[in-house]
Amino acid sequence: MVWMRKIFALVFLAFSFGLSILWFPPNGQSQTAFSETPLKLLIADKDDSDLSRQLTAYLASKHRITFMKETGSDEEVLRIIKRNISLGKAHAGLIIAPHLEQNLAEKKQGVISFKDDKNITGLYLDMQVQKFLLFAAALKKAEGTFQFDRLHTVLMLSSPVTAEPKKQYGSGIKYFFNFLGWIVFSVILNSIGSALFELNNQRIKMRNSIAPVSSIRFAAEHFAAQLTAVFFLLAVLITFAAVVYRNEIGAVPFFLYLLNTLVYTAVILSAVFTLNAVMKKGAVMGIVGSVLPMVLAFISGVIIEQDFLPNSVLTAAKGFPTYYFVCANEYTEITRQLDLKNIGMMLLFLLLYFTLGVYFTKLNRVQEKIEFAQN
Amino acid sequence: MNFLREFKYSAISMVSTMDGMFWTVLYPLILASLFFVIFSASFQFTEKNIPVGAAEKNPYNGIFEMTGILEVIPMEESEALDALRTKRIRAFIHDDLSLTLTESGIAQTVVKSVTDMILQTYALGVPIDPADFDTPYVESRNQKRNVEIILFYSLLAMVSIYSMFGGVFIPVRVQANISKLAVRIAAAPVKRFAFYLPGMLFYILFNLASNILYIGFVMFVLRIPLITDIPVSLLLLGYANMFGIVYGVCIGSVAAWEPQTKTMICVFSSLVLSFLSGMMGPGIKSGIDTYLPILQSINPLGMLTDNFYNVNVLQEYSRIPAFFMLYTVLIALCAAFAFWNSKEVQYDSL
Repeated sequence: MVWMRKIFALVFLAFSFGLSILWFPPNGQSQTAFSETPLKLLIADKDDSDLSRQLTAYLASKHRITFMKETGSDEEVLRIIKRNISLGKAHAGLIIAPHLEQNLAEKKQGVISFKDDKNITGLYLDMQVQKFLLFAAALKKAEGTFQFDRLHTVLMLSSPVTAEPKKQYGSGIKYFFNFLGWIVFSVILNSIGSALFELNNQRIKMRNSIAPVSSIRFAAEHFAAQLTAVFFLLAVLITFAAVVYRNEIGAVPFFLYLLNTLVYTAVILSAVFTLNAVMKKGAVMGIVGSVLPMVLAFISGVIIEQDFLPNSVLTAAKGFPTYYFVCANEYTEITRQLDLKNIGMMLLFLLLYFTLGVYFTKLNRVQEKIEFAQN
Repeated sequence: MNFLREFKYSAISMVSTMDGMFWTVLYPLILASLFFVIFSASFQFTEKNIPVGAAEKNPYNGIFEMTGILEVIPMEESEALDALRTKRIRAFIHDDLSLTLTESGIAQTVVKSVTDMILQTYALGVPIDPADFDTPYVESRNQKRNVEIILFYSLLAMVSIYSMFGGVFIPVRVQANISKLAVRIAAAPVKRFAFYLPGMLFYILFNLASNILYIGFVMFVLRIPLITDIPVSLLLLGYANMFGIVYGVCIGSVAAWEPQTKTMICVFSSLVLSFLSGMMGPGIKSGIDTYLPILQSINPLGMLTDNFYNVNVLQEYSRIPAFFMLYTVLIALCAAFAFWNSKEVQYDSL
């Protein structure tokens, strides 16, 4: 590989490492206890009464709250709430209107909640505020006062939870190996694929044909060089995975993931062989090298899980090996076993690409012979 | 005439190459389609009820259904663990309202809040009129979470400076210490400025047209309301294109670098800046906004993404002066650098 490709491969690897750490951080420790998930809330308390302060204190015991005390006008409050929810920086915003107690007595709405109705978090928050006010109103009606101490004691009651120790290990590393499906494809196609493509240059072919090296030896050395480069790339990637996910390695079938990756890499090498035999222009090779791995990563469930992809997209993805690589990793994660079915599909792709590659190479040779004879 | 001729040759050199047409025109459309494919689920996504397991004779099943949040899947306790591990249910609720879970999360938290509420209602010790459960004390207003659209703005910001790829090759034709063609032009009695201007103008117009095509594609094919304030958005886009071309000329004017190196610098700088502005996930932008806001205020693509979002989603215009200030400074710096590199010098060989 010339230095530009080496630099490209190294920069791409570094970039991929950064991305994979950001997207798929190691899981850390296994989960043994349940903890409630706090929401990020913005609260503007325009009432500032005992009741409203108790309500916000209750919510503060459950969620992460930012109080908008210094915020001036109503428009400014609305603007901040709207902006934060829109940008996903807050789950919801609450405005406690003045005269909360009076509104409660008259069974009027005293709290305005802003949140995205598509998300269940909004319903959850409304339910909590509604519960607090409902209980407060019931206590006031029955006892004459709100009895906040009693109210808080009741609200502290919690249903017992048994958290079955499901190992959380493995998800991070599975996503990393899925992500590897993109990296391996892209790096091999852009570095080895492009380097091989340059060997199709007519001048190099002429020099090779007069060189005192047999075609078989040249092809064998050629293949050995590819394997060395691929081995180096994979070694860098796998070492990286082993270091970053060192806490998870003991708990996951690391070598099964590795095996899936090796089979997938063989398929990609075979695909590169075919593409080199088919492609005629370097510009097209560059475009295919950048776009094809990325498209396959998007539609095969590397970036977002297959469960969330539309069926039509998954149907299209089934025509390519990346889909089966992701499926095999998924199966390995759940069953801790090798997914022979999907590995078999990948091997079929290997066979298909290799056959196509051989066919097109022969076709090209025949074409070259005809052109040579005509000249 | 010279101007028109140069303009024509710039156009021919761009349109006739597959690289130029693909990366400027088609690549943004492909990326937008991919973003749409993976995020179409979240654009149309509405969270459904949370599936929970409970015995068929659980005395609270009626209440669970009444909440409108939980979907009860009848099952025996013995089946619960398998169902939890395969994520068929998020929690199993026992007859005494205790829960069995395998992970923490918002869905599990919501389930627990329902069971807590039932327990707490009994523990309150005062009667609650059943009608009061239906009294709405909270007025709910919908405020759409619109974070995924940042990807499309960030992508638009990235391609808005793609005029740089044309700009990189302008000095090749003009600057005598870069190419032989430029040596001949430098020796000819022509004004060099006349060679810069038509190329720059063409690449700006061409890239602007491809940006508009991208906007049209996202709005009318993918049906995402990307642009709501057309005049202001076009103004921002035009100025970003100006920056792109000057940046390209600036990089292209460095004689020591090979053309491939210059292109690579352009590719990686645009990728990294757009990555920081949220193109690979809005979470990254949000994190930088929170922990390193200074970075976003000097990142031209971050600033442009912010302004697109503010103007078109929030209808806020407060950061527009900062955008023009930053871009003007960057344009001035790049232009000064390019001018310094290309200023007339006496070459020994001439």
